[in-house]
Amino acid sequence: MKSVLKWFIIIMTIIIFLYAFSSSYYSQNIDHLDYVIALGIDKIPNSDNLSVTFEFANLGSFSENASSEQTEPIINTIIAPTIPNALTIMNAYIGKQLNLSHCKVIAFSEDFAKTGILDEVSFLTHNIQIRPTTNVVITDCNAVDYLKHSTSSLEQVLTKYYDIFPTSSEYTGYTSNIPLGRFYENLLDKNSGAVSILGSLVENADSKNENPSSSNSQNPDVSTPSKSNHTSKSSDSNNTSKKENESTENTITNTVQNTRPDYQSFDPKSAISEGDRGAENMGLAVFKDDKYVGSLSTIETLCYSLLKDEVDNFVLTITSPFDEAEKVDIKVGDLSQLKTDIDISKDAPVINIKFNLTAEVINVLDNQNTPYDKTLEKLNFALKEYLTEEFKSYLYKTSREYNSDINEFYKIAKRKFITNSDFSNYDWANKYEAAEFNVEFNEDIITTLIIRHEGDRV
Amino acid sequence: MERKLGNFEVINSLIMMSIADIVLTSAGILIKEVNSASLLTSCLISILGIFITFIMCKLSKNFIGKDILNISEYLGGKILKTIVGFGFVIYFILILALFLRQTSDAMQLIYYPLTHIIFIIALLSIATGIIANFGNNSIFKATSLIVPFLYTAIFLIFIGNTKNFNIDNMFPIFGNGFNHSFIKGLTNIFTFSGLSYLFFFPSKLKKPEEITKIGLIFSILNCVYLIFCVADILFLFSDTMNHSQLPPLYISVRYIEFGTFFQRMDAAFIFLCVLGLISALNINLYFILEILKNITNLSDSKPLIFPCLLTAFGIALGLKQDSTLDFLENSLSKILFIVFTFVVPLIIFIGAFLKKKFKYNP
Amino acid sequence: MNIKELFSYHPKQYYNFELKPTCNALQNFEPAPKQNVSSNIELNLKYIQSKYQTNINSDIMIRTFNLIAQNRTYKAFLVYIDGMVDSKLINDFVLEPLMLRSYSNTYTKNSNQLTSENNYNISVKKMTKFNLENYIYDSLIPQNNLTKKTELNKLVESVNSGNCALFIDTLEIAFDIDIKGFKQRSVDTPQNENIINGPQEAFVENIRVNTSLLRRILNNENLIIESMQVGEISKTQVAVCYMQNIINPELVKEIKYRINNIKLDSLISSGQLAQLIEENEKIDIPTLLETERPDKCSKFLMQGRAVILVNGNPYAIIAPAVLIDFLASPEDTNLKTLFANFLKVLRILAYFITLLAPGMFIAITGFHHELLPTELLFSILASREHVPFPIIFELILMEISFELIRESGIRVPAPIGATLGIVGALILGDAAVSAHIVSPILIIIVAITGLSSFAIPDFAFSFHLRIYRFLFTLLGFCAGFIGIGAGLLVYINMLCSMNSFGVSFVSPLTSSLSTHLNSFFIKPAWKYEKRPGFIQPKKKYAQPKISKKWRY
Repeated sequence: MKSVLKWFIIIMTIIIFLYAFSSSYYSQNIDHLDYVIALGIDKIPNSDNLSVTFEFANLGSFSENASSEQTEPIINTIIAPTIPNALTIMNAYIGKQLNLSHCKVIAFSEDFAKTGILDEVSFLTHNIQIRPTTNVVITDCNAVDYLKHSTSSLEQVLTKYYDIFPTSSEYTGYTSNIPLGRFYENLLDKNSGAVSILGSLVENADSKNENPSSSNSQNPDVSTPSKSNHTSKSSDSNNTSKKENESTENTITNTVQNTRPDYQSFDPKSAISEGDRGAENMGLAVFKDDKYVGSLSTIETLCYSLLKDEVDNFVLTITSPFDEAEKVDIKVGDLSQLKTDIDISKDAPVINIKFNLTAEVINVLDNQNTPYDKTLEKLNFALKEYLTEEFKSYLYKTSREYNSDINEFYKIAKRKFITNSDFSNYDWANKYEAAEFNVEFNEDIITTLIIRHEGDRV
Repeated sequence: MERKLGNFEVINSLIMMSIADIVLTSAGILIKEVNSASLLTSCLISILGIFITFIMCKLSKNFIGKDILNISEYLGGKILKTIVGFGFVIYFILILALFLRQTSDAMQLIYYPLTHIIFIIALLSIATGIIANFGNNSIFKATSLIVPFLYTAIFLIFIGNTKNFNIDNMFPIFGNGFNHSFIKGLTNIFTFSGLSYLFFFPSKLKKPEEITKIGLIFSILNCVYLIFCVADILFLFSDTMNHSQLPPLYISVRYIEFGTFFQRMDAAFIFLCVLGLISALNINLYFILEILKNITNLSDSKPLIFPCLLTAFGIALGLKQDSTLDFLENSLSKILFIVFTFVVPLIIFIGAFLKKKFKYNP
Repeated sequence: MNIKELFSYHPKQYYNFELKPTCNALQNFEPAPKQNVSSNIELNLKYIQSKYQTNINSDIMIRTFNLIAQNRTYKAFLVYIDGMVDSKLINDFVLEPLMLRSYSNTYTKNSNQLTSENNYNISVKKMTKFNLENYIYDSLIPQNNLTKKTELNKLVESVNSGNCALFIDTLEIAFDIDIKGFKQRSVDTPQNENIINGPQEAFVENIRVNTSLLRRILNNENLIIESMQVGEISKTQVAVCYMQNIINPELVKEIKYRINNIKLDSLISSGQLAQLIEENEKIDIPTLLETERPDKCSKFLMQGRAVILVNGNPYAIIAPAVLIDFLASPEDTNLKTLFANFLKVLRILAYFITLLAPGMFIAITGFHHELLPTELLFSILASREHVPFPIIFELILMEISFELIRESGIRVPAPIGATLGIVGALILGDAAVSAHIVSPILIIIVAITGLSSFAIPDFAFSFHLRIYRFLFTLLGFCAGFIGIGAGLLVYINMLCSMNSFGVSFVSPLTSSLSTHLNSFFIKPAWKYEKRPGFIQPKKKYAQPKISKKWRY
């Protein structure tokens, strides 16, 4: 009798537990979830509502014989006062529960970022599903357009692109890997300035796509998804144009803004004249407190990456010191920030940065019979001058123009203080605006891999 | 007949109790209180912890092979033994309930949003009860199998997060001030939670004369774990990042990424932690049962498993309010730790030592 | 045909047989009372006839004859079981000497003295009193295994085991003659423990052949083979083998104590004996190793363990056994260290995969899908789009199908064995996926789990894994990694709580002894200095520090 009772209790306990936990199982089972791979958040003009765009992967693209239509992701947009509301409405609309654990990119439009995004970022950071390594992108267009134009026939699966694109910072320096967690921390800290990836549409992408934000209704209703799906096909026209024209030529379309040669002042952001992908991610967006205050160009982004030690090597093009009409391509690598020192004894902090790097000339150089050591010296000087100018321009921009310590010099400054209250009394946030910068590059930065042609012009 | 325990098993058990506490609460509390001075404070706490462990072990060496209950019986007879015993039982039951509640809260938040917390606590309690029924030998053996993995995990987490570290987070070096960081910060000695159980082991050791060696090895391992844990959290997050209900070490694991394949290893971390936490619950329960058995002279402590677990279960369920839980975690557990780990044993050891001295040299 | 018969009704005849308790029920585990051999041969004959029910028992042979010794005729009879004795041996070495040669050795006073007496001045004492018993024992029966017995019970036991018993009138003893000649299987290759590099002999059913196999490998007088009987009716012979200069005597005592204190009617197999002498009744994890390889047994004997052989069964029991032994292959010591350790790691991995893979899969898809790479997750989702069943149902369905195929594979006749493989693969694989009953990823999981279970060397051990994985699947479904973690900890504690003849089952992983006495991984052959410490052998060292004397 005792063993019967014991077995009865055991079986009843198992059944109770199965029943109790089944609700969590069914709510989290993969069969009952829809996975968002990217989020886009726009502000509706003249309204307090947000336009929240959810990008889903098309499961058809993961089957063996997927057609080109099947590879297109699915984009749905909801207008709601807050993101939690939008999530709830979307849950009801699609019938399955949304899961954000595979969300790779969160895009905010520039217009929305200018008004302050701390609440939204806070909600997203504290959401248990969202990975803290999700990338944050500020788009200079509507976030929904950015998401729509991010597809390309280079990948059948869009998630691979979202995973990989921030890593291009390691060998270009034109973007940076900004995870959500770090972004949120910097937004909260009043001494720091936050940055995020700057996303833009490729110049000619706009003309081929309608702007869906103008067609959004002002009511907090569900916007019709069919339009979004139709507009997502606009990138197909890019594909077809690419198919028509096999070889594309990168031409420089930007006008030169100063007297420097074209190759030195061209902006990579606008260098893409025709491409399969309608969106690019070069440059960074700068925040002060939680508001977007401006952007960084690609060369400024490179400076930021250098200071953060995020870039392994990159290529620069400078004027040849031997002939102003000629260019020198230099591959800069083996970067290590030798020392950053901050002097807080004066009213405004003085920030001294010393770099130690090696460089290698990668094109054929006509040194016009200059002796080898003099050649190196001249190249050294030219590169140092160029880099110093660019760095200072970047640093003063962050300080004077944006007053945003995106390089986190305040953390180095903290070393000079004993306690947090001492540092708080120093008021770094305000003093950074008047900061002075000294940038130094070590000598002998160019290796001896120079091909010299004496006499003959190329 | 109960098997005697080896040094390896004892050290592992003590480390397990400390790991459970550090992972769940104490590391986070330390960093919240002391901010950027956490690393320095944890070093200081470690040195203090080693020193105190050494002193305590040296004092207990006067009574080789006797645990604190035996010594208190020697000092004040059965009455003192009963009082001390029940005091420890209440303390350990509180710890048990706290562990249960904290673990269940975290699990509910992460994985079981639609399951009532009573079932999660019940699941952990039932697992603890089943293991307790296997007997005492298995608990310590199983713990010594699991602890190496848990211990190694902190190093892997540290290495995995290195690319996200910012060493400057440890500045200013004195945090919120010298007093706040180093005087008030010393109350965070409760990160050495395994120490509370050390004094119950001497009667169970194969070589009770090596209690000092065990204590020192445990303290050093505890220090290393604490420092790595604190360093990981401190270097990863700035002092403003403390708004989550989840253990900070768990949040730090979410940042670990190796390419696109190894991502979100927090589930694997949770898996390891569950093994460790339930082991810690079992060790705690074991000592509760042992003390009760000792006090009440029972031949077998198995019938007490269910009542003890039920009590802890009830207390864990009752800790509904965040404020109650907060008070328990931040204040009461610190006070109880200091009382039951330092004050009471110190009084008993010194008292018994003096009594022994005057008995033989009146 | 009769029209009446066509339309008549014949009630159905039922055959009624119901098994009722017999009024002569005997439930007596007490040994039968001792009865001695009588000097009256008729009494002995009657006893044998009634004991064996010779009027109905067709293979019990009783051969009566007369024995002539010293000019006297003695009545005698042989009793044996037809089919269990070698008839030629009976004829040539028992009946012939007794019936024909008893004449030639008669000695009288008038017989000549031996020639050698004269030549060597040896004085030979003349026998004054004739002792028939000694005469038969010393001079008549040229049989190597001949014993005298006084108890009739013992004689009956010997006859049952294949000997023959000789009763002589006027003698109060009988002779037990070993002339076994029953047919048996010859020593063959192991059926279920195949290895590539190693001996290819296996035990057979006959216990004496098995002990001889052990003796051939361990040519040492310290190899003790103690016999005992288990089973009141079957009287199955059981042999406990050990190296007396290595093994801990307490272990031998304990084994013999347990075997001698088993009360049951019959013992048929070694598996049955293992269950009867194991300590852990509630937990179904085996704690005694069973093997059909004599080389494996010899290896364990040299470590200080005991081997138990059961007559009629080709599997030997090794006691004590620990967890690592169930994951070790007989080939390990024959291979290079690197290869052996690699295989061992593979087997340990197989162990965890068999136990946890299905549960982990359920847990990951149910609770922890963030662990999966995004592309894999979507690929799984895409493959599951048309599958109507929940994952847990699919998994259990596939697991049960796999178990059915495995079980039927054991019993299928050889000619259609290949067909079964094809049908199984088609059913489990292609057709199920094509019909959208299961998803392809699940087939992979089930297949990997199945393959891993085959990689476990010990059958009984892998069986328990097959059962327990269903529990882990349920836990994974219920509570994800937390459920599996809790279950795994309970399982680990269960293993830690088990003992095998006083040795912890998880030795040496958690031994409180110094761990250098035995290591987890296989060492090179020249480093096996110490025997496993957890067995507490008498002789701790198996070889000196430098065993390669030719080199150092």
